[in-house]
Amino acid sequence: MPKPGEAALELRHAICAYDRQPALSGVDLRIEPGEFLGVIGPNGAGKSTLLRAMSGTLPLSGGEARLYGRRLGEYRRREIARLLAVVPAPGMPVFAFTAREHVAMGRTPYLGHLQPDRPQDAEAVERALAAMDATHLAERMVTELSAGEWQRVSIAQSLAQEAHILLLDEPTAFLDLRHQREISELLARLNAEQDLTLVWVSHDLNLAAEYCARLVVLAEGRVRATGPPEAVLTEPLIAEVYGAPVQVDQGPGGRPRVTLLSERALEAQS
Amino acid sequence: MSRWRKMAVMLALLALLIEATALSLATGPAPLPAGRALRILLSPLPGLQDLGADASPTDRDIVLQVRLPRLLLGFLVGAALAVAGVLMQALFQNPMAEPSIIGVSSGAALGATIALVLGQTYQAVSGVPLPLFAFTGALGVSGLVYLLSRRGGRTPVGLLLLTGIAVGSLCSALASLILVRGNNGQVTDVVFWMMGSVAYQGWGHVRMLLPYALAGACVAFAYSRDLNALLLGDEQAAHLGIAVERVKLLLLACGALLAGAAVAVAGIVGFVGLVVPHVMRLLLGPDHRLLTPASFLGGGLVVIVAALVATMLGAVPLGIITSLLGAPFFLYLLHRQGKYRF
Repeated sequence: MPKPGEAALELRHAICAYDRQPALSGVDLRIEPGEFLGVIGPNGAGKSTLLRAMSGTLPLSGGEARLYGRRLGEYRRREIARLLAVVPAPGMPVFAFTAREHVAMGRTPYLGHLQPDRPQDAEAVERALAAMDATHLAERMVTELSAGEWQRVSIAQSLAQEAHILLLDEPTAFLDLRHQREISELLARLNAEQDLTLVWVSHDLNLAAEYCARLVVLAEGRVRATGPPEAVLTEPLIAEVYGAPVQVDQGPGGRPRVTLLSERALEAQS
Repeated sequence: MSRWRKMAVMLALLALLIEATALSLATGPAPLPAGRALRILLSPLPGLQDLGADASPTDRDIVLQVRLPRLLLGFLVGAALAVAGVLMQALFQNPMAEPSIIGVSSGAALGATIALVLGQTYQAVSGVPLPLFAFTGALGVSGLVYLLSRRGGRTPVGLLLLTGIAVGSLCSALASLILVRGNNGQVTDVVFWMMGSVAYQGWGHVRMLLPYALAGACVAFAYSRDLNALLLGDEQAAHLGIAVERVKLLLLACGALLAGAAVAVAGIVGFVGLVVPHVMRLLLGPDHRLLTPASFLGGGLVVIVAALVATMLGAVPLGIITSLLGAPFFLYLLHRQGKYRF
């Protein structure tokens, strides 16, 4: 699908507004195929809106969004869903589908109204479950899964779409350390082995710095900075954007490590 | 949920339907043996004329002209309401939704009240049959609810729900306003209509409902996959490739037609649209590819049985039976489940 030299996703001066309240005010962003991009920024900076603009669920009021060179508006929803999948922000499931049934919904963009699932659909579902280490959960009800298990099943649904791009809205929120690491490692593996383009919205600066090759900092609906983690995560920039004092040093893997400074820590420093 | 269990549930539904059919055809002011009633039922089929040989013409008329149309009407009313309930619960991503949520019942009630009360006063009204009024009311009001819930090309379900409640109350108030101007006979007529019944209807009503019930159920079934996706919320459904607003409009219209047509011919039959999809979901799981056809059969079965009970109790209105049986059963379901899940 991707032609050489063509961006997977591209926003050109994208403007989005809810009820005339601007949420994105002119975002330029180009995402290359196979990238692992982290999107960070304070609450209300427009991170979720950016995902909606990129997935085409929120129409732009200005500028343009292109998916593999073609304007999003020119695609049918089904066509978008075959190229781009979205893992929604974690919420608890209401209806008691089994995990396998939930993942199988990822095949929706490939199947007609009365068409039964084909062998290749069942295979895609099993592959997605396996990639998320969730095969043993397949027959369990999603309503009975733990938060970590549910998040893996939720990502598996998007993988079953066999899209080229995966957008994730805080996939590690509410998870403990082991599950944060588990999900992050699985995503890194997908990115490396299957060349999946990943766009990961995160509140966790250290996790984003550790796993993403490039970060975008959003602030007040604009791109404030973009580049590799060590170029972006600097003390003055974070203090300015988040309005909180931090100390940045180098973590064990060479990536920047951000520590939030409490009043006590500030006093001890001075 | 194993494949065997699903198959067993579907077979049990079919068996119960046959049993209820035989009982319904046999029960009434002039009781018949169930075997003879079934033979009469099958006798009009080509090659089976001999089956009805032992039956008197009166028995034949009772079965084929009185009890069979009521039975079919009961089945179609229940099936249409249950499938409409399935649609509403998926569209509202809420297992507590039912067809009246978008103003179908209150619109139909307003239409019926206009027909029954104003029919005697105004020439223009009197020539038109009541079901047409009720149907127009149901569709008109649900259409109005939809239009009032549009915001910038979208129809958020929360807004749809609240608009439905507000417009529904408005219609009820208007109906009451018309009703206080009516005489006692008209008030009684309206009250009985609101209790729902299939006891006095004939083949004409069956013919009115049949196309809507079948077409509506077929559309709902064809969109089973979309309905599954919509359970995840409008946004995730869009991510899965569903053209959400278009599909939502189609399925809302489909639900309004199904419920509107059912209410138009039978009056308000409560709880079927809420309870039947629920029970089927507990038995079979939430996958609409099975839930929709199972609710179609289950809804039909429930109303047939309720109508049978109504007949045995001496022509008690059907809607009272469905609510009397449905409400406690629903409460039982809610209590039985330790955890609140669907």
